Parts: sequence; C-alpha cells; structure tokens
Amino acid sequence: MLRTKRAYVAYGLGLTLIVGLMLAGAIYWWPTFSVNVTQLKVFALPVPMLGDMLNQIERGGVAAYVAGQHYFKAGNTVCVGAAILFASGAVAGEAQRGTLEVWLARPVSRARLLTERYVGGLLVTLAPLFLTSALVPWMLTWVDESMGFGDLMRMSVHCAAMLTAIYSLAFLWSTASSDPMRIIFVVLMFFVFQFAIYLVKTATNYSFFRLADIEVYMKIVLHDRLDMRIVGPFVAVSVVSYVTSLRVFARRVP
Amino acid sequence: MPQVIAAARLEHAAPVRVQARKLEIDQRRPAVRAHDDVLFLVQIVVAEADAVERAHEVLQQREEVVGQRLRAVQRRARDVGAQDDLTRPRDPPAQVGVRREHSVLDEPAEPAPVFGREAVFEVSERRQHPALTSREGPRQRPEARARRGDPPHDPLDAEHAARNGQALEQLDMPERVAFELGHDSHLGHRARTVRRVGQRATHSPVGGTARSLAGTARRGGGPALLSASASLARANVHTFPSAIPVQATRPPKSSSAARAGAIHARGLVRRFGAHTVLQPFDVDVEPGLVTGLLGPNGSGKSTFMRCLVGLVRADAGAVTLDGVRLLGDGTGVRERATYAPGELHLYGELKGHEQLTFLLRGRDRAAHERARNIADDLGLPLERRVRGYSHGMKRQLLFAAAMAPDVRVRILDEISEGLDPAKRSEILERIADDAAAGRAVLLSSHHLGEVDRVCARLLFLSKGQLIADEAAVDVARRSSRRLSLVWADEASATRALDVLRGPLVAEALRDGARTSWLLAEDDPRPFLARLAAASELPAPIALEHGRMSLSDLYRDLYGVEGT
Repeated sequence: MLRTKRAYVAYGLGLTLIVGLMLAGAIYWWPTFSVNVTQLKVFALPVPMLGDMLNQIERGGVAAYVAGQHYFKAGNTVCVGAAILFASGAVAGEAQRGTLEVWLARPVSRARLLTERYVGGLLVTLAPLFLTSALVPWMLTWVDESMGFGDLMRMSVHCAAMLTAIYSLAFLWSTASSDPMRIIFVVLMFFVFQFAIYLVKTATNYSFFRLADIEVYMKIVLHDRLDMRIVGPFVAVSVVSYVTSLRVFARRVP
Repeated sequence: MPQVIAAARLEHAAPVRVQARKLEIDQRRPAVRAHDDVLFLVQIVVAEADAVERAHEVLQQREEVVGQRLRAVQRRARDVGAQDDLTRPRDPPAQVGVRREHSVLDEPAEPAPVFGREAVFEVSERRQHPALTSREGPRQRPEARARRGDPPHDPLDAEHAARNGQALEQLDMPERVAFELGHDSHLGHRARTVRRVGQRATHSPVGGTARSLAGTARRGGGPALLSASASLARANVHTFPSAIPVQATRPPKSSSAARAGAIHARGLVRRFGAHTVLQPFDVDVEPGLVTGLLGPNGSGKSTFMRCLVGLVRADAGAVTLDGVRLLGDGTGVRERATYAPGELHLYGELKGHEQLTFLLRGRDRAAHERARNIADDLGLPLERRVRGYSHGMKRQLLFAAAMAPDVRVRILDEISEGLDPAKRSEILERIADDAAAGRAVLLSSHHLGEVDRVCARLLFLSKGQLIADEAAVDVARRSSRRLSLVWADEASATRALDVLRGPLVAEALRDGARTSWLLAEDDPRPFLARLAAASELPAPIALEHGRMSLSDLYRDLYGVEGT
C-alpha cells in the first residue's frame, strides 16, 4: 500500500482529512452537546459506560469533550485502523504481490529498507493526529472555547505511543508473513473486540482501551504530564517489536 | 528436407543437428486448397567459415527466380539498414561462446561476405493441390513422374536425395542442419512464413542465389529454393536456437582464490525446513564468459542465485563476488553485481521510468541513463504504467535495469523467459556483448536452447546438486546422437521403427507419431542414408537432430530425471 512517496502523501492527506472532518464536526456540535448533555445521559442509561463517559465530559468541560471525540473516538478507531492497515502491508504486502524480491535485490541494506518502511508508515499514521490536534485551538474559537496547546500535544503523544505500539506489533507480524489480509482481519477483530468489552461495565477493565480513554487523558490534562506508567510500556513494546522485526527481516526469504 | 537427406551421402564430416517442422494448412479456404506452396527452411551450421564459402559457390551454380513477393520483403528488410551488420562483420572475442551466422545465398550483384559458421536456406516448392491437378503436383504418382522423366517429388526418395546431394557433396559436412518444412498457402500460412523470412532478411540480404535451387526443384517437382538468408550473431533472429555455441577454447578452470569480476561459491547449503534445496558444491564463474545455470524447475537455480547476492542466507558455505566476500545481508555484494530475479512481479502502479528508478536505487546517475537508453532500444514505453505492460515487456524492463549498472558481475535468472524469438535473440546478444567486455555473467534457464547460444560453459543442477559442469560445446557434441522424426500418423511411426531399426540404432522409442532414436555412433549420416533409402516409408513431416531438451539431456547423459 505504502510504497512510493506519492502513496505516502496521498494516504497521509486522506487520513488527515478524515480525522480533521470528524474533529471539526465534533467541535461544531459542542454547544448543542453541552446544552443537551443531561438528556443524552438519559439515552445512555442502557449502556452504563456511555453514561460514565458523559459524566466525565460534563465534569471536564470542553477538554474532556475534545479528548473523547478526538483521541478516544478518532484515535482509537480510525487511527488504530490506519495503523493496522499501513503496518500489515509493509512487508507482507510485498510478499503477497511478489515484489519482495525486486525490493530487496537493490544494493540497499535490509535494515535501511525496513526502517524506511517502518518510519514511513508510522509518519503517515501519526502525522494526521498531530496535525489535527494542532488545529484544535483554532477550531475551538468557532465555539468561543479555548484549550492549552501543551495539553493537546501531551494527549497526542499519549495517543501516538499507543498507536505506535499497535503499529509495531502489526508491523512485526507483517515482517514474518505473506498475507496482509490475515493480519488486518485478525488485528482489527481483536481491537473491535477490545472496544466492545470496553463498553461492558463489568469487563471494561480488561479492555486495552482503558489505557487510552477519557479518564486517562483527563489525568494528563490535570497533572500537566504524561503518564509514564502507560506510555513507557507502549514505547517498550514498540522498540522490542521493531528490533524483532529487523532480526526477522534479516533472514526473510523473498 | 532433401538437402538433409543428401547430406547423409556426404563423407567428409557428420552433421550434429538436423531439424524439420511442418506447418499446418488452412484447408478451409478453396484458394488454399487449390495451390499450396511448400517451404523448407534449411539451417546449417558448418565447422568453419570456409565451408560456408564453398556452400555459397556451390549453391550459386543452381538457378531459379525467387518469388516476387518474397524478394520484395527481403529488399524492404535490407533497406532498414541491417546490411551493415553483414558488410562489417565483427568478430566476437574468442573466449565467448558466440555463434556467428552468415548467408550463403545472396544477391549475385552483392555477394555477401562469408564468415561465421551458420547458414540458413529456405527452400520452397509450389505445387497444385492434388484435387485440382492431374499432371503435376507433389502427390502425383511416382510412376507418372517417372514416365515424364521428372525427378521424384518425395524428399525422402533416394533418387531425389542423390540429385540434391550432388551439389552438396562438394562441401564439408555441416555441424548442424536444421529444416523447417512449411506447407504454405496464399492466404493462410504464407504471411507467417514470409514474415519469418523477413525477420531473417532484416539482417541479411537474401535471395539471388536462392533462385537456383528453386528452379531446379520446381522443374522436377521437387523443392525449390526460395530464399536463403543468414545473419551475424549480433543480429540473430532465426527461429531455432542453436545448440552449438562456438567456443575457441574451453573455459579456463579457475583458481579458488577470489578474483575481481568473478564469482566463487564454496559449499553453499540451504535448507527449508527438512528439505535441503542446495547441497554443497563449488562453483567459479569467470569474467569474460557467459556461464549458463541449467536445471529443471525446482532444481535450486534460483535459490543458488539468491544465495550469491545475499537475498537468501545460505546455511553453510561462502561466496566471494568481485573480490568481496558475502557478509550480512549482502549489500556489499549487491553493490558489485546486478541481479535480475526470475519472478516477474513489478509495481503496476508505477510508470516504466519510475519502475526503472525504483530498480536502480543505489546506482549512479549514469546507470539510470543507460537503463533508459536500453529500454528505448528495446522499444519499451516508459511513460506507460507497468500494469499495462505485457509479460515480455516487464521482462525487458528488468533486463534494462540489470544491464545498466557498470558492475563486473551480472546474475540473470530466467532473463529470456517469455520473450519472443526476436527479443530473446536481442537480449542474448547484449548479454554476450556484455560478457565480451569482461564481465562475468551467470545466466539461468530451464530451456537448454535458450541459453546455450551464448553460454561458453554450462552448469547443470538437479535437486540442489551440481551434477555437471561442462563446456557448452562438449554438451552439444554429446547431444549429436539424438535424432527424432515426426510422422504423419502413428502407423507410419510404427512402421519406421521396424524399417529403420538395426545396428545403426542403439535405442528407438515411439511416442504417438514421433519416433526418437539414439544413434549407435556420433555420425548420423548412415542413419540418414538409410532413412533416405527407405522408399517404403512416407516422408517424415519433421526431423530433428542434434537438439536435446533439458530433460533429454538429464535423462540420457546424467541418468537423472530432469523434469
């Protein structure tokens, strides 16, 4: 999928557009939401976790709303999907279409080729997140609200760490596989399941998304710092996955 | 066909290879049924250039008018400038196995220079369909012809063979003779045949002398020479790949020391799970030569080549390429060599020039320029997306990328696979030139005939083992005992087995209408003479001598099942 500069730019712009439009729509809807939050909580009664989220937003104001709409909703769905998509095709896609050999046959080291592919896909995944986050203060002026740029960047870094971990795991699998569709299906299904159990009150603490929900983001805003107990493991998983990918790729047969 | 049979009567030397093929007639068209032209293609490889010269002189003594249409084709072809190749012969370096071809028959006003060792004759006979003729024609009863004093038509007729043999008796025996028999028609296969003639003619002025045999044969109801053509190896577009690469000297045995521009592989082993794909063996590929790596599918050719450039890590063994030892992922080795993969998968979304840029990453700017030039020479549309390329065009794109970098080693996996004969010849010719410039070229194929024309040395793999390492000329010699005949029907084939079996034949097999013969001795002439004299047999529709398929070679020479 991501093989040429043109593809990187196209997919990056596409993802930016999708996430940006979602964010713009959410911010545009903020005044209506804030007025009607009480009624919305009534609708959310059958799903207690939704009620909890609405309570958090009611308490946290526009910052919690942005965290919920941008980082929890867009970050944990669209960006996770993009990360899985870009990572799964990185090497397995080449193998599947048979171009792995011409990719490797050039006088360029495998480590360099893999790193380029890894960094390229990661940039396409993360750049839209940071770019759209940087636009939040400007968008909030539409609704006479404001939010600290530092808070937004810290929340973006947290979300990026989570996406990098997911991306790296999918990338590692891609390095060893020749079937990108299987990777996409399995990993996506796993995270859909994780999202599903997040909404179940009794099982929510077993969900991966507890590591990147509104409550976590609001703690970052309140404490003005990243929660390294969460970001640290994300980074560790990413590094280990990347290093393992290099080792696997070094012995990869075209 | 008659020349081949006549060749059996020659006593000076033995042909190594004979081939004949019959084209089908489009019988649906009444006009086609009314008139058939029969075309014979006679391809002769002789031992030395002098023999071609003598053939030229002998055949010029015979006269006939060449068909107007064919001459027009030949003239057009000549006008495109390919004559330069004939008038300015270039000698390939002695150490490179390049076969040179040359026309032995030419316009009298413009006698072609004689050099090289191959000649191609095209012999034609026009005849009326038996349904519409009562006095003449190929199917006329022999006794009727005899009453009129006509020579027999049947190319295998002994008398006819003798007539045709008289001229050739003055020649040294060719090393190889190949025939193509074409039952041509005005509307059907004529165009195909003429086009094929034209292909040859693009590289050689042809025609004039060809008249002689044509007239003689037409008068007698026998075959007539319509045209004759040949070409230099540089412009080699003939239909049949040669099995006789010319090699001045046997390729030198290399030392084990690493040399610049050479490939040294020592004891490479590669296993995939419990399956050992490569067994340990040593190979040295010398610069200045094209070395062929042959083997059936699954024999380990591609894995071996991938191991050489580090794409597959060998479990054991060592590789030194252009003086650099293969270490790590082989980037250092790949900087000194180009590798064209056998798997033909490219990025369809890229345009041709973008794909070239992709393939040439890590090479200098000059390589990019050269690749574009090669691609332009090959006629590749670089502005089109690769997804619109045909199989052959993709192969040529890979070839352009592999030949462009200024490196001393090229490793080309199945580079001519899927190409039409003209492109294949062009590519093989470029490869030969490249090797002549001092580069080591390792060329793999599972078709013996595709690579042996440029390879000086052949490495044979089977089940991951190197089972033979031979000079190509030796392989060609060993193949000279094989001969096959294709008959019109199985009954004829069965009868041929009975009639021709004898002390001249070590082994005879029938597969449908094809009979395969393993001759008892290298010289096929006694057997051909016996074939010519066997008047009770019909004429075979195809004859092949001196050509072996890879599976034949493996089975007969090495006792290994090659397919």
